[in-house]
Amino acid sequence: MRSLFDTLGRARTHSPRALTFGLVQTAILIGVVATVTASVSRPKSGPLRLPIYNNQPLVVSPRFDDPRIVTDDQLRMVLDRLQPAFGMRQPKVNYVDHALRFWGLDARFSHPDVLSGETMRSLLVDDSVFLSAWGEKTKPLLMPTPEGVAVRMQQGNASASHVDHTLASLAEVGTGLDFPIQLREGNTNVESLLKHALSDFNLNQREYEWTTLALALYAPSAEPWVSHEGQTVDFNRLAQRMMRERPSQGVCYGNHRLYTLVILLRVDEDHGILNAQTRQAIKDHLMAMTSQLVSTQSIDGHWDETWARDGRVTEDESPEARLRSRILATGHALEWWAMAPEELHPPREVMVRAGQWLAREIEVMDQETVLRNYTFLSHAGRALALWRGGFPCQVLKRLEIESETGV
Amino acid sequence: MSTSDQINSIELSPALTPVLSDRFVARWSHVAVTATYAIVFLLISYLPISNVESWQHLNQGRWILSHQALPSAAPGLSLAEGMPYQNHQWLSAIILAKTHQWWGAEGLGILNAIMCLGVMILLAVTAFQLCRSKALAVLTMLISLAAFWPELNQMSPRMFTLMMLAATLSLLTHIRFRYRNQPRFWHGVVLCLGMALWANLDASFMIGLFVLGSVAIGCVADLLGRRCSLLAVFEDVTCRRWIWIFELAIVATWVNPYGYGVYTQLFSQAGNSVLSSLGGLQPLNPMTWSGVAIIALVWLTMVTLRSSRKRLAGAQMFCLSAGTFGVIFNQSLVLFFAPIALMSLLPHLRSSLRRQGWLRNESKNEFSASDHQDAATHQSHKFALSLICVLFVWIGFSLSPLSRPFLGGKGRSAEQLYDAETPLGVAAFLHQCDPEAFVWAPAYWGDWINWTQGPEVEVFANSNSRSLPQQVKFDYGLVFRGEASFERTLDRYQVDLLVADKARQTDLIKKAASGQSAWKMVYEDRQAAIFARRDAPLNSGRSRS
Repeated sequence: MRSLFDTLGRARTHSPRALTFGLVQTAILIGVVATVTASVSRPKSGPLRLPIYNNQPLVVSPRFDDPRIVTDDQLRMVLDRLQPAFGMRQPKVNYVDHALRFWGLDARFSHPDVLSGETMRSLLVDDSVFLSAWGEKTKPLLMPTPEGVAVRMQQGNASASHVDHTLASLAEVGTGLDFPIQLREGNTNVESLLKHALSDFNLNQREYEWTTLALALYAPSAEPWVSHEGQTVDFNRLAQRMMRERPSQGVCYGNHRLYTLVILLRVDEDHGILNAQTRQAIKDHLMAMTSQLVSTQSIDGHWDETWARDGRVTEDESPEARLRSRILATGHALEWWAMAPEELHPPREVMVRAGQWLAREIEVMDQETVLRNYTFLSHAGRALALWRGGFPCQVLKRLEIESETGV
Repeated sequence: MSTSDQINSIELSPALTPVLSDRFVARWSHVAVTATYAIVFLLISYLPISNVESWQHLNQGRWILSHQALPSAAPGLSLAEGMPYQNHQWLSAIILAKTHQWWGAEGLGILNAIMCLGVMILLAVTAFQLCRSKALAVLTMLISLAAFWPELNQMSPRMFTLMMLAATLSLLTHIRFRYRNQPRFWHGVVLCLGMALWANLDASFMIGLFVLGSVAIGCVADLLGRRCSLLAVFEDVTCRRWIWIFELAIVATWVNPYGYGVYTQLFSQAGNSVLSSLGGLQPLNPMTWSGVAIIALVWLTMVTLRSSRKRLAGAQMFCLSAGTFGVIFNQSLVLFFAPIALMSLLPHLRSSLRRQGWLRNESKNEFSASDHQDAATHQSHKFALSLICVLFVWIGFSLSPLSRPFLGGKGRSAEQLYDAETPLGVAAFLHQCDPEAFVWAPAYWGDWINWTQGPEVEVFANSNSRSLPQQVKFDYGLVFRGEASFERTLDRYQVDLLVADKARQTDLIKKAASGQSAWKMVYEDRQAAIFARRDAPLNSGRSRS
C-alpha cells in the first residue's frame, strides 16, 4: 500500500492523467476489497428466516350453541365418560396430548387417577414429571437440537404420534412461548419447541397441519418467512399445500387439514393472514368437503373412512375397527364445523344426526373401549362441547352452575 | 461519346469482358472453405431439436411474453414456488419463443444453423487475422465446432452467447492488429454495450468479462514485466484504456433485471443461479466428449508453446491458465474455452508450423493478379472458381430448410424435427386425456410436456429442477428409482398421471403395473408408459395454482 501511495505521489509530478487514474483505481480497489471482506466475514446462517411470533397464542373460540346436536344431559354424560383416567403409571403420550387439547388447562377432577390439565401439560414439558411416570430407563420425550427442542415421534407409547401435535396442543390450550420446559440437559421454554418445528419444517413433509395450526396461533401475520430449504412460506402457500391432497390421503382421513384450514379462516378474520384468492379457495374447498360429507352420511348420522372415497367401501373390517373409523370420521367433521363460519355448514339436521349418533355411541361404550379409542373420542367429545358454545371445561362449569341454580 | 459511337464500339468487340473486380477471383482454397461451410451449415440445419433443455427456454419465453413480466418462480413447476429464482436468460428465451411463434420448430433449427454459421465465420475470420492461414482458420473453426458439437442441437441461449463471444474475440483481434492494441472510444462503447446485451442473454457474460479482464491484466503484466514500475502502468495509455473498458464493462452488466444482484448470487448459498447457468460444478471426465476435447486442447497448447519462438503475451497466458483451471472444475465450459484457447494459441501455432516449414505465409493481398497467372491468361475462366463458390453457397441454401419458404418443398416430419428421445406419443396422449393433470415424468421430459400441453399442465420436475426444494428433489429421485414408497410419495403430491421412461425406469414400471398397485397403465409406446390412478377416472385433473 505504501508503494502505491509513493507511486501516486510520483504520478502527481509526472502526469495529472496518471494521477487521476491511479486515485480512481485505488478507490475502486479499496471498495472491492471492503465489499468482498464484508461479504465473506458475514456469518453464514443459511436461508432460514423464521417468522416473528407473539408470546401468547391466539384463542379461537366456538360460536354456536345448539342443544339439538347434543343436549345438556348428553354432554354431561359424554364428558364424564371421557375423563382422562390414565393415572400416572406410563400414560401414553399420544393420549395425554390429545386429552390436554380436549380438556385444556382448567381441567381438575376429583378422582386421583384422572389427570388434571396442569398435570398433563407437566407430563409433556417437564422431564422430571415424565420420568416419574415412565421410569428412569425411558428415553426423554423432549430432546435438545441445535435449533431448539424436538419431540420424540412414533417410537412407542412414550412418544408422540403426530408431527407437532404436542406443540399445537400447547398452543390451543393457551401456553405462552415463555412457559418453562425442563429437559434432562437443562431448562428452556416452549419457544424452543416452536423454533425447532419451524427450522425443521418443509412444505412437502408428510404431516404439516399441526405445525401450521401452531404457527397461526403464535405468529398470525401475513409476513412470509423462509424455510431451511430456502422456500418462502406464508399462510397462502400453507393453505394451498393443505388443499393439495385428496381427503382420503392424510392422517385421520384428512380431517386435521380441514380443521387447520378453518382455523386459518378464523385467524384471517382479525389478522388478515390470507389473500382474497386463497381465502375464496379455502371456502370453496371446505364447501366441497361439506357437500361430500352430506352426500355420504349414513342414515343413522355417522360417517366412516369411505366419506373421502365417495362412499366406496374397500375392505371388510372388525366391528371395533368399524366403530373406531366411524367415531373418528364423525367426531372430526363435527369438530371443524363447530369452528367454521356458518356459510360452510351443512344443513343443521345433518349435524344434529351426527351429534346424536356420537352421544348414543359413547353412552353405550364400555370403559375399556373408551380407553382404547381415546384419541378419536377426544375429538368427538371436544366437538360436542364446542357445539354448545365453549371449550369442555367452560361448558361443564356452565352446566354445573345451571344445574345448581336451576337457571 | 455519341450513341452511334457506342453501338460501333460494341460491334467491334465480340468478346465479353468481365467488369467485376479481381478481388472476387477465387482460388481452390476458397472453394474448399466455401464447401466446408456449406456442408457444416447443412449438417447443423438438419440436426433434430434436442429434447433436453430446449423446451425449458421456450417455456420461459412463452411465460414472459404472455405475462409481460419476468417469472418469480420456474414456469411450469408449481412445487418450486417460493424458491429463489432468477432468470438470467430472459432475452434469449423471448427470442426463441418469438422465433417459434413465427416460424415454428423448423424456424428454431434455421435460427440455430444461421447463428452457428455466423459464429464459425467470425471465428475463422478472427483466426485468419491472427495467423494469415486459411487452413489454420478452417482448422480453428472445425475444432471449435467439435467442442460445440454436443450442444449444437439444443435451442438454448448458448447460440447467442457463442455469437457474443466470437464477436468479442473478433473485435479484440481487430483492435490488436488495426489499432496496435490501443482501443478507441467507440471500441469501449461497443464492448460495454455488448456486455450489457450479453448480461441479458445469459449468465455466461462472466466469460466475456473474463476475456476483457485477461486483456487488461495481460497488458498490465506485460508492462510491469518490461518496466517494473506501477507508475508506468498509470502512465501507459493502452493499459489505462483496457482497465477502464474492463471496469465499465462490469458496470454495463448491471443493466439487467436483477442489477448487481447477479454478482451477489455468486456468493449466495441457496440456488446459485449464475453458476448453475454456467453448468455448475462438473469436474473433468476424460471419458466424455468434452473431456476428450479439453485434453486435446491442453496437449495442443503444450506442444505449440514448446516449439513456438514467439513470446507468450500476458493476456494469452492468463486466458490459457485460468481457462484450463476453469474447465477442470466445469468441463461444460469447454464450449467457451475452445475458441479462447485457440485464439491465444494461433500466433504460436503459426510460428511453430512455419518453423517446421509446414506453413507458408499468405499475402495480405491474397487476391492480387500475381496469384492468378493462369486465370489471367484465360480471362474467360477467371471467375470459374468464384462461380463454384457461389454454387456451393446456393447448394447450401437450397438444400437446407431455410429455402422452403422461397423454393417450396415439404417440411420435416415430427420424427425428423425432434430427436429420438422426445416423447412425442406421450405429449399426444396427454393432450387428449387430461388438460389439467399434475404429471410426474422424468425431469428430461418435463419441459417438453410443459411446452406441448400449455401452461395448465404442471409437472413434478423439469430441467429447471435445481429450483425445487430439497425434499421434492429427494422425492423425485425416490419415484424415479421406483422405490417401495413411490405410491405414498405420489399420493402426497397428489400426482394424477405417472409417465415412466421404459428404458431407464424398469423398476418403477414393474411396480406400477403390478396388481397391488393403485395405478393402472393407460398408454404405452416404445419409449414410455403412462399410468393413471385406478380410483380416479381420467380427465379429472384439477388446476393447481
